[in-house]
Amino acid sequence: MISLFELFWIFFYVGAFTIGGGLVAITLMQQEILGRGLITPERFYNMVAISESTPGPIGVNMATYIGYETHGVIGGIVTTAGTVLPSLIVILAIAMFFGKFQEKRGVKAAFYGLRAGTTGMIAVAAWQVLTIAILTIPEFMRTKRAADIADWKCLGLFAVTYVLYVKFKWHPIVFIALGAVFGAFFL
Amino acid sequence: MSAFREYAELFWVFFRIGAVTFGGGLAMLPILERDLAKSRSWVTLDELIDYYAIGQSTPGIIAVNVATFVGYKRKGIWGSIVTTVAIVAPSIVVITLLAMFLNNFADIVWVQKALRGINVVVAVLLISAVWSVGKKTFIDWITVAIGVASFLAMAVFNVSGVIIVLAAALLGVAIRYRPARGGKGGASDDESLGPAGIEE
Repeated sequence: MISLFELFWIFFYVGAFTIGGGLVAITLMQQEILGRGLITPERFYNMVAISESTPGPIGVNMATYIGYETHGVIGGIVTTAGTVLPSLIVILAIAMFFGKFQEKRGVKAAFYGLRAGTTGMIAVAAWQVLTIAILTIPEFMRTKRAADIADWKCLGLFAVTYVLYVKFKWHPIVFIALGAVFGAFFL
Repeated sequence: MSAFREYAELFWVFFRIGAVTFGGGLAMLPILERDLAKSRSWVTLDELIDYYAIGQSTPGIIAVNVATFVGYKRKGIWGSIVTTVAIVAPSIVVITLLAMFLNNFADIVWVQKALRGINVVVAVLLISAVWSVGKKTFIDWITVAIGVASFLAMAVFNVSGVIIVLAAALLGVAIRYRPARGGKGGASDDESLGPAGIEE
């Protein structure tokens, strides 16, 4: 059985080399955890499914899960700490100096492009959720019927939510709760 | 407000964000915008966008990076530790409970149905986040072009976020950077950049 200390460093490594989001973390965990045979592949993919269907960052959920499986509650805390520690250190270092650099011409010019690029990447996230949640493109490709391009109940929910969100500006949490209830009963 | 109350509020805000975010760090943006920029003015939307840009290109999970950044801005090092712990705490609690009692959680039919409903809502939240962020960041045709190019590079050609961040930053420097005229740097760095400058 792997020691807690070793497990901490595996997840520290995963946290340090995860650049660009949770899916990268899952790939690294796959290499490190499955590569060492700590957990069966079937169990691992079951964990991925659960981590995606529970709240919180997917990388953190996975770390907690694997830590719990190998060492119980303490294991889950240790692996999570290992995963977030590199980002805590790096971001603190950047945050301490960011204020000073922010006003430099070069940095301002870089952020002029960077903000636009980030907007594009946020749009990718929106597009991906949209295709998963509403569009049924594989079904459409199979049947070639225009009616199969989207899930109409989900599209209806989308339209109603959009109008309510823009009009009333309720807190996003309210809409997430309503979406969960509607989904459980009507989808 | 006492120092303890301030830390407690910082913790509670990020704990709540960690507890209701489905679908990764980017899906958190609408809630961060609402809770941090609109209701509390702890950060501006511009700063949140910058944190995301930095979070994309540095090690670690984006949601955690943004939480650390905001915590540091509010309350220094201790603030950043509080927000980082707060954002991961719900995951630890929820996952540990599920691992103890419900191994087949993701296979339960009504869980899957509820998640489909949540996904639709997250799509709405993200699209309106893109809209409000875009109004801030798309200030001319060049920025629109950079945004569209980034979208296509990632969505169609699967280019990694790090490469897009680097390319967008380099383009920004190439298009907008004008060395200080006449000055020895330093003091003149903070001036307006003249006709080609960025209005903020």
